[in-house]
Amino acid sequence: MKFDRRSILNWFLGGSTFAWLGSVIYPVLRFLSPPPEQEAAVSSVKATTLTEMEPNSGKVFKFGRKPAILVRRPDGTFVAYLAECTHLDCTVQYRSEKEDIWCACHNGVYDLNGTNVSGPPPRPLDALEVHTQGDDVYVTQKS
Amino acid sequence: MTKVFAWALIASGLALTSRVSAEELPGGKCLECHSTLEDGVAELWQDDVHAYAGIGCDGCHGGDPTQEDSDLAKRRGTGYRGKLSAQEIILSCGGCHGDIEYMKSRNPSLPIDQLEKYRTSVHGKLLAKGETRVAQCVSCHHAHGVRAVNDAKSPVYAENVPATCGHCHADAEYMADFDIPTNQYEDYTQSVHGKALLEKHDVRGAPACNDCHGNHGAAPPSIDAISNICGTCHAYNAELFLGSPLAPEFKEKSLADCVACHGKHLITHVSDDWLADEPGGACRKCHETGDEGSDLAVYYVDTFGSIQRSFDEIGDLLARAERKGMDVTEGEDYSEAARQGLMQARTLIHAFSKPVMEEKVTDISQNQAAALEVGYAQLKAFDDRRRGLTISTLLLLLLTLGVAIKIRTLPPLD
Amino acid sequence: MSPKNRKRSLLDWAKDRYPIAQFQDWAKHKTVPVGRGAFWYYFGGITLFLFLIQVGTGIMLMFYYKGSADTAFESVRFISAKVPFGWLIRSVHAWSANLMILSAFIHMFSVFFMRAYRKPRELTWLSGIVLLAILFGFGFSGYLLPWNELAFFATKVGTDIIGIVPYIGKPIMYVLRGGEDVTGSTLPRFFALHVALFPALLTMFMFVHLFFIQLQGIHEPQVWETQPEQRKTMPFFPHFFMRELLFWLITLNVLAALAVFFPAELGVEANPFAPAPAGIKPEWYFLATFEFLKYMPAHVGPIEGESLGLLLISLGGLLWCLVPWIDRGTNRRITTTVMIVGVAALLFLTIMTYRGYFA
Repeated sequence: MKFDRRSILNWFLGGSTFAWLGSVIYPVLRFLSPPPEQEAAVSSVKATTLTEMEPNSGKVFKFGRKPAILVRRPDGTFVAYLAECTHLDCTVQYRSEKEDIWCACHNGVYDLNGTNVSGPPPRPLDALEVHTQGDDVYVTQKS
Repeated sequence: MTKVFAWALIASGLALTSRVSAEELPGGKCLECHSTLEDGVAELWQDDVHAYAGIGCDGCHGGDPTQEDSDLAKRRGTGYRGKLSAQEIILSCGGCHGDIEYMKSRNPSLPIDQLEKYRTSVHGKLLAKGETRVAQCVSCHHAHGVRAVNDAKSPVYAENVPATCGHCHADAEYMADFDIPTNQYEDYTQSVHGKALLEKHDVRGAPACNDCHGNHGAAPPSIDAISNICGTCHAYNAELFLGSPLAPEFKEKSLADCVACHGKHLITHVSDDWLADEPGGACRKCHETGDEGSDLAVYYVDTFGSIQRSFDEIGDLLARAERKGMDVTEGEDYSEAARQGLMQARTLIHAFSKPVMEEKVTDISQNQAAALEVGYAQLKAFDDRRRGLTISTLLLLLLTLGVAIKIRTLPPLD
Repeated sequence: MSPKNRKRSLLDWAKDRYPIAQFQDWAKHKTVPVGRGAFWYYFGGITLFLFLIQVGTGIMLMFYYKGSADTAFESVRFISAKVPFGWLIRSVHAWSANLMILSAFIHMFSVFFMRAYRKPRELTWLSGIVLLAILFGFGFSGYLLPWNELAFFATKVGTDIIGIVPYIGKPIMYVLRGGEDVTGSTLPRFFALHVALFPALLTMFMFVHLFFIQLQGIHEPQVWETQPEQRKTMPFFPHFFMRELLFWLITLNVLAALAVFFPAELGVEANPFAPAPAGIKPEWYFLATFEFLKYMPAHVGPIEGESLGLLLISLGGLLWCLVPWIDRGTNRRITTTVMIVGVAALLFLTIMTYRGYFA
């Protein structure tokens, strides 16, 4: 191997090209491989499973950036709503002893159709759709 | 021919578009005179629900509505009563509104216990003793332009109730002979309830005078009743309080539960200072520094203080990260969850129990910690980006040097 | 074939099948003029480089972008926040778009002031203007894709302006929007334009543009005609190419630095039912038109002010396209006038853009 200026220069050029290319290709490869965290679903969320959720129970979960409530009625069917109380936006909860949805802030009460039946709330809860697929229960935007 | 036709058209058009004239509403000949007098009765009558229900002037005042001549209309035998006295008013209104069969056939959804309740009220009791300066039906509902309660122009529409009650109760001169304060209306307008009703127009949610004092049976609630009354809306707070160690103590000492700390009419936003171990503090009214209650209050204050400081820290941190262009929505979500938790914690105060509060505080701290973690992670990520850029730039500079030298070694241009 | 000659044999294998020797020959003789204005020659290549960056980053973004109104915003947020180096790819894509249009403008104006539009390069000039128009289309369609508040309303305003064009404006606006208003139906159309139609058109016209340049060579400075002793050229390979490459690398680093220190914003998700926030403006390259339209009076005679404004801009654009036929180099007065008009146009655009940005 010759160690004259020309070949040193070529080695230097090749080496720095290689290193620089690495600093470009590395981010590209990292980008293309799927990240461990999946995207926060905004239009469809798997909220629970049939085995996990018993009849006459409720669950508050995240739907996009908002809280939502899924209720499994005593007869086994599901309903889901956005869990923001229509009065002053507190997060509502399910009351299994009354089989209704209740807001602890000012005693607002909704029935399981989401209708505001008592207390300050001026409007019903915003409804969401529920689909079951096998054992999984999905909540989606109302179409 | 066309001219007559045209005039007929115009006349019928006018007739159709004009307001229902006084002659069409029940009142007969009474209104013929009274619409010309200055008393304004005929005009008010246009808006009265009773008029549209087919009740005429004679329904309350008696007299003969078929007589044009006023003397004949009011002669003996017609049952004419003229202007009713206070005692006559309640019997006149109550005579129909308290009659089950009568109301069932006209408006079954209306209550029929107004007179009965009124008799139990302070107003009713005083009137029974002969005091005519108290409120009776007409004082609040007015006499001739009685509107439905859910008509926004009605003096008993939710938003108008405080002013209606205040008409007398805030008039110091009028109330001079009665031994009660007259600052309720002013206090109420400064309160959270008053602002919610009068400024934010929350007619469904915010209480007016009648929601706590009752409508027709208006009376200040007894001490025993206070938790239940506040609890009709603040159900959870009432439940916690009644289950707390304070409830039996308050009962024993005849303290007015919620009112003892929150006040009656001037109910304002609570601040953490209330719990402070300072002379003005709410707990200090009964507790001495160092006793169990005082210690709990101090625990509350310290805990909320540190939670608030964490919120400040989170706010600063996330703002810093955001200014650098980093995405902090996840941190904001955790912070929001912590805020909801804090709101719940403030309600949990009413349990006056340290273990109960500790559980909630753990929940809040977890969310706050998660928010801080997001903020710090984003700041670190930004620094990582800068570091990555520096490395990449250095490599580029090396490469640039190499290429520049290489260019120099190229054969010269000729 | 011996292992020692393996490298040579690969080339020989290819040479036996394809006209590589002719290509090598042509490449060796391709030259670029050297002189005072030579610096401006790099900008065509930089524009091309930035386009290649756009294609690369664009394809990468498509691995994660979800182009429907429900999911678009969140998918862009996901890219920026959760995908490794997603912030970099997205911000480089956004910055490269802006720099590409800027570079295209610089390239166009430098060609103008060097009068390189003259015979035989009239079609090169025209194809270049078509390319610029397609770039505007890219910018406009791409801006909507994050489905954030600013983009939503900017698109509404922009398509409103298209609707002002007489007769054909409203139908075009209707087709662009996918309906009366900008809605969730608009997004898939813009996406299709951005990743399919415009790339296809741009590639076609770019080939035409570059092909013409290769056929005719780089325009030589006018002064060489009268002073041939000033004639100096540089071989494209390797001299110009290496310098160009260096500029490309520096540009890439500038992009990365911009991505780190001035990352692309996302803002809040578009809500068609919310009122428009104050200060809606289009991207900077549309600001001059946007600002100019504001100066039009409500009516000029029977014509609406905005229609007149668009008409004036269109006329200006048309004249700009026809410059090679206006200034053929035969009349000195015409040439000087055209050059002055060019300076005026540049000043007008600069001032209007500045005002649009800061006013």
